[in-house]
Amino acid sequence: MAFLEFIKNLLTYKEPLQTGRFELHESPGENPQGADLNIPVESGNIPGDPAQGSSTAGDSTGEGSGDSKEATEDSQNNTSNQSEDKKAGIKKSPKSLGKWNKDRKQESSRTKDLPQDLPQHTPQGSSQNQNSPQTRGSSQTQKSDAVNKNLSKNLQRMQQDFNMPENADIVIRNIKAGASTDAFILYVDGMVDKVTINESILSPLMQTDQGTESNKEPSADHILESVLSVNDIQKSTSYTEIIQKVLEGVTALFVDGLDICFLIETQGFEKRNVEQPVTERTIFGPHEAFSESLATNITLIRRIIKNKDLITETLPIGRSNNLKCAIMYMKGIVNPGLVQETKRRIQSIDTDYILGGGELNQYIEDHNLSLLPQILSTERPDRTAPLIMDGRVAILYESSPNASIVPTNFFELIYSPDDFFIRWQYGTFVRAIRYMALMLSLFLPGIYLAITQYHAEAIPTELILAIEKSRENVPFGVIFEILLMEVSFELIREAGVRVPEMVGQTLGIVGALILGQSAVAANLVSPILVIIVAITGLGNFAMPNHHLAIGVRVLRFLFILLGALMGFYGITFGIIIVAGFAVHMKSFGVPFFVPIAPKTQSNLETFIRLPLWISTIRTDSINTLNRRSAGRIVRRWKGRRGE
Amino acid sequence: MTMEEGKFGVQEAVSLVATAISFKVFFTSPSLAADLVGNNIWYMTLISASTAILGFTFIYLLLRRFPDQDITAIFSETLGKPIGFICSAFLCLYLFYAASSSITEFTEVMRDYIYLLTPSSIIIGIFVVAVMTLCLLGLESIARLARFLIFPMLFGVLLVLVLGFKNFHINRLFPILGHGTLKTLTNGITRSSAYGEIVILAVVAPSLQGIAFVKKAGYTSLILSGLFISMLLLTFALTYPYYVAREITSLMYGMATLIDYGRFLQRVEPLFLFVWFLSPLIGISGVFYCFISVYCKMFKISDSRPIVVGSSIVLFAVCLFQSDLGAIASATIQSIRNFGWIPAFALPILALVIGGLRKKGTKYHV
Repeated sequence: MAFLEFIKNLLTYKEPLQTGRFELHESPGENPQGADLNIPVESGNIPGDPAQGSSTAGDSTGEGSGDSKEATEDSQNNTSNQSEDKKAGIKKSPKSLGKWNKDRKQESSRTKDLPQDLPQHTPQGSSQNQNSPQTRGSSQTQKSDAVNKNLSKNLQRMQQDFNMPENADIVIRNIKAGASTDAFILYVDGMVDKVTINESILSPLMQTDQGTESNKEPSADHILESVLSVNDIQKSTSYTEIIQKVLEGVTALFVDGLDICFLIETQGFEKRNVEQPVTERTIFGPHEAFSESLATNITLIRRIIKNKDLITETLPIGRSNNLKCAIMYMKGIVNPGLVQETKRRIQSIDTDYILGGGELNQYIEDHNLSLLPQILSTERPDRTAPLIMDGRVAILYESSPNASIVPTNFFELIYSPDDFFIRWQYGTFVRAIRYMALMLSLFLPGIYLAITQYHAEAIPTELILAIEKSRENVPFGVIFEILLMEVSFELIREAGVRVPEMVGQTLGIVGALILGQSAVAANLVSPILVIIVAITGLGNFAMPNHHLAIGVRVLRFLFILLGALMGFYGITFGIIIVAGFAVHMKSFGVPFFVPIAPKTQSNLETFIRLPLWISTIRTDSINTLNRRSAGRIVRRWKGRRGE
Repeated sequence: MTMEEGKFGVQEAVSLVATAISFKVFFTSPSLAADLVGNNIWYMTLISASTAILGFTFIYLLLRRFPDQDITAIFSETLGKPIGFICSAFLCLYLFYAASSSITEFTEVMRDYIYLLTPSSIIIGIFVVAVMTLCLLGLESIARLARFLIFPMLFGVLLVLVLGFKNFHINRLFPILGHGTLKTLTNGITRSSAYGEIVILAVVAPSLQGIAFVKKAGYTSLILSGLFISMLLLTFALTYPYYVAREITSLMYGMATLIDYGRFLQRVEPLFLFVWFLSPLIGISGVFYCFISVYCKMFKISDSRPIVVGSSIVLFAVCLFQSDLGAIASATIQSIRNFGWIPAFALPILALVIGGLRKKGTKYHV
């Protein structure tokens, strides 16, 4: 459907509209922020929109806020309205041209009225959660969001909001703090560390002489400073924030007579340990990969970049599942426009749930129809950290063992962390091998087909005779042979991923050797084709980036078909189309084929892994604030000329 | 209401213009030139390039008077709207004619050498679809694609030249004056039209971020193209006696077939075929985009996409009209080579002179 829409879009005349396309400019000052930051979706649907956030929080000022409040209500009532319409049998008709124009004018004037600043990072549970189902319910009944002094009211509210008693894993424990003051703690069973709760919360609170100061009203400061022995405690007065934090594994403590709640850090759910990378193995360098724990992943980066300017901002994603993601960047190096754009894209996603990096990448990438990935996804902290130092933004996720790095370019998808852990000569050599692997994987079957079908005169006589001799007993055309083998190879590969590890290796060997040999023996394919498909497969396995490898696999079939249709002419046609779209693409405002097209600095680095002491400039195309990554003379012990 | 054509740098502009100028050397033009002037085609083209550089100087002077404006707007301002419109239309027709005749030439050469039984409509159809797609992607993408693919193309050509070294014979350069100095000079000047694609820069000048970039891109493109074409023509002259060269449709393809270094290194046409296909696809896309650009600016159309689709269909139909290689080579290509300088250079000179007389533009702007 998307493709049909794309075709329709190409063929339909439209008055050009300002779509807010992001371009990464030289400095923040040059960035037409006003244009870029106008979120190109209806304001009512943007969870992170400050106007929307403020309106629901009840402190809205000005026309813009009012509009977005309206829009929020619209979006909230949207589902119910649709069902009501259906029930009532109301048929919706398309808008008239006049109405459409009028609406558009109103919309554009509304967009102009929006604040020009980017929607700032909102604390979890504020604007984001105002869209969540439970909060919608509460806003509809005009409930106050502030914590009450009366403990029973707080208890009632929490029970109601957490749908108790249906919700079986929500635990509320009533206690007597200091023997006289009523209190309760609230947590999600399985998300917390019970030892911490027992030893650092319940035990000190329930000691008769410590709950409160004797003969006085309960004091928040006293509890915070003298009773609770947990390192990270926050005070909150907002139910929305409390609910969100409890869902993340924090324990909430309500005390009678206090209009605040203590949010005590007690996260302690089961998680996988830091293990070896699965898809990005290297020989040298660290053997640590990201895990599903966001805190662990952030720590892995912080262990490499021990710098106070490494900023970590957390943002909630998914309207209902409220998954946390963290964006990490180096303040003072990264282009601020890039950080803003990343946050803008993440905050403007309006969907119920996002399951992690793989899904989020699809929401925030520039070109969804492209077969090439425009976001670098990696499971290695040692791949992520240097790119952060280079001025990129890394996005890490809860329950996802990958980091997404933006922006990226085509050539970076060919790099491997190994390149930088070995000497530059070796790094250059293996990089060249990888480029060759890319070419083979992409073009070899198509070129074989084109040569045998259209350009046989170009092959030396002995070779063409050998090819023809090997094919004389095969009853099918070359195209059928190739497709048969390629599809079989893809089946083996896909099956190998699904079956257990040990069986997978056996399956690979059985599939590749026995199936190939049997196919040749049965005269279904020629022996030379088995070699072609094997080399192609090896080339694909040599790709360091899994997403690129899949894209290349799909494109290979395109080149096979084009080679079968028109020989080299067809393949050239394919190259033009694929390369045309590729150079047209951008990754977060940066052309995808930099530094070649358009040409920017560090051109040589693309193909040659330059010696480390020569690479002293950060990637030119991302316009970092600090261009130089090393001193002019890196190896000072060698002197100016390096002698 | 202006078209958004994007921005690109000098290297992209040079790649695009140089490809648009140079790809013709792979087809019938060298043999036609050999027929006219003999074996001294290699320096005749240098005369043409020098003439084109002179012509471009006037284009540059014109653009300097009207910074940030394209040739269509300049025509309107200097010559007045009606005459400016007519001049733009003339330029527009020239670009369309150049694109269509190049596609037809390409198709017929393909059918002569490789796809003997394939109908012209298939070859033209594929070509037009590629050109249309690139034009839909926009000028910025075409320029970037040219920059991206120029090095593989150069590598392919140079490899053929190096491997063909065995067939070079220095005595084939003599008589060094060919059919005579006057003939060489006359043909060299008139055939400056072979470098007429430099007018692309005048059409897309606002995309080049300043007049200094236009100047740099223009002179660099012409010098590099002149040297490249001259080098290729020199190798042709060294490989073939001129009376043979005038009979061969594609001298470059012929040269690739002559390579023979033992049984397993002979006939490297496959290597050259990619260059043969890629360079006209990029070059003609650039020319055709300029046609679309001029057309849209003439009629003040801001969205070029519907025009691209419609014009591509017209281009396909026009290419199908001419189906005889002999007719294309002798009539169409010759006429473009002989008279292409009028829209490419004469019209800008006219605009410059009249603009000067009418005191239009910024005289001292740099």
